[in-house]
Amino acid sequence: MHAGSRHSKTRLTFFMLGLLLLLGGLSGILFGAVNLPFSSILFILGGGDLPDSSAHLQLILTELRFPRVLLAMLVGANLAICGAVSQGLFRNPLADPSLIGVTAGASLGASIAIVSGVSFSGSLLFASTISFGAFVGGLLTVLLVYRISSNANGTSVATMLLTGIAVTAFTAAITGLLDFYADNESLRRMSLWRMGGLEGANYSHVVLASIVLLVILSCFQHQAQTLNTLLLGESEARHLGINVEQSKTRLILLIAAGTGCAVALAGTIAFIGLVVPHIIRLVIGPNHRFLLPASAMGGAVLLVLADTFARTAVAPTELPVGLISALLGAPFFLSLLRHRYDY
Amino acid sequence: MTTEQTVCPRTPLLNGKNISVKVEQGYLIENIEFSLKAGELVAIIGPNGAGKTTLLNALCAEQATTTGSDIIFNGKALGNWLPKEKATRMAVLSQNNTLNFPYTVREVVTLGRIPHATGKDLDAHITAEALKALDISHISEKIFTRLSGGEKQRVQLARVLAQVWQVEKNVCDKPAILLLDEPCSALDPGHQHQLMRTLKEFCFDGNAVVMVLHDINLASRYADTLFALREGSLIASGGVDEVLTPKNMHTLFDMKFTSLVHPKYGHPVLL
Repeated sequence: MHAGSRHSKTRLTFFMLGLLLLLGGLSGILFGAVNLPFSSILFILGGGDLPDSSAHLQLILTELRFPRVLLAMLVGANLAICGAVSQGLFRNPLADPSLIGVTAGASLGASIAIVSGVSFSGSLLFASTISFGAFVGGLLTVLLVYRISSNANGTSVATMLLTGIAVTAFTAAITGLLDFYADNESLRRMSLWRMGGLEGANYSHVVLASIVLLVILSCFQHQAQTLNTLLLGESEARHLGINVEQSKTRLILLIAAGTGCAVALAGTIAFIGLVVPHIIRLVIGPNHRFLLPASAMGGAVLLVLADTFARTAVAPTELPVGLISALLGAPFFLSLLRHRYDY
Repeated sequence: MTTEQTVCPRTPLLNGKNISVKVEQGYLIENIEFSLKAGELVAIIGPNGAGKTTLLNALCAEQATTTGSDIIFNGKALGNWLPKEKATRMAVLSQNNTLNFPYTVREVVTLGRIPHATGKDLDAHITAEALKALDISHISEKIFTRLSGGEKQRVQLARVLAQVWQVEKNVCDKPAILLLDEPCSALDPGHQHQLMRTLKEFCFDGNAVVMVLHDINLASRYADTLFALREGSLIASGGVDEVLTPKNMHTLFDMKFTSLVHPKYGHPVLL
């Protein structure tokens, strides 16, 4: 297919994503176990307080829905942008941060935190102990993978993918052992955490996630041209004057931090990092200058929609959002592939 | 390109002494002397596995050389060039291109301008010129991954040409060089000759080209200087008539050639 209109297509894509983000955010705020009237949102956003009779609505809105929708957007954006960068760095449209061990390491970290944390249950720090464990686990695993795949000649991307697979299997086995010996309560906590969820959202999570997103987005955007040249091949990038080894190290650390933070705050949410950049690339092409921000917006849209669906589908019970993101994303992706697989 | 030409002094651009590359199994190339002057088109010839690509990679610092190897680029040791600075003066096209992301042809060629900070308009202009020079303007909006092998090769050539494109034609004070590994391998004869003429014009402006060539007769017609390698050693170097002798050809390729003189251009033709 002819890509003559790529420029205007890019603009249209950003416009559509912005619109979807707005609508997604709005529906995330309005719908849930309790559906809120649109007027009350305008009222509260306008700075007013609802009458005492609907004080519980105000509480739902400001303490539950707002932070949750914001966190869903931030985590989705974070996952999608890290996925986009991984695919560029590994020159493989199928790459995903989980390939280099982030997710498996985070799961292990979270499991360790849960298993050892059960004895202090009741502690206020409990929830954040899991997040902390996940973040540290993810980061340490990536560093391990990175160290194993590096030698005096630099880091081999192919070795890194293979090392990632082996280390993932190893950490998954340890997580499995923890599962095996855990009591019933810890076991359920661990498997629920692994399915992903945003129910713990609060404003401090939102602040943390926005800081991380801002930092990685601006760093990645700074490296957009480097990523563009890396698609040509590492030696081609070197011949274009890029300091390839230094850039690779930076990108890998940023991916680990970004994904680690997302996983720590929301558990493992499958598919967004893989599928969103892919969909965006099908539409606007692989130029990272546009691909990265568009992927961030796309990831935010997908996760906020998935989370809204997860909250409303069988309300008042919540489904794990990680399941929904794959349930929504996979068919959409497959239909795209079927219609334009020659792209 | 232009009618009025300024002939640059034939200053050495890339000089190598004792270039050796060693791996665990032994030397890939050993003690090669190499020189490239402004305005010169150099071809490296030899059988498969002779070390042609290794030499080319050593000349652009992609391949580490043994201590004692001494390569000077534009008056400064090759290893002392900052990557960014070097990229504005030296472009390299390797043999294997692995781009499998759906860039358009124009986007790929524009990537060649990354080392330069010459502004969007000039980059667009140079990209258009490079597309024209490789006869791919008509496919500039097509998706790279869907092109044929020869078209892909021309796109990559346009990219490296855009990287060292000189805006002014008088470039004696800042000449650039192109290193190309078998740039003609996937091209049809028409485009092979078009490429060689484009490269000759590039050299004529005071720049220089080093290329690995398999087609002896293309080398014979267009190259100023030839370097003949076999099993990692230099068998012969010099002008076309000195290097392309039946004896050298027999040493290189283990087969008998008949040498004729081209009726129109006068260079040796080997059959």
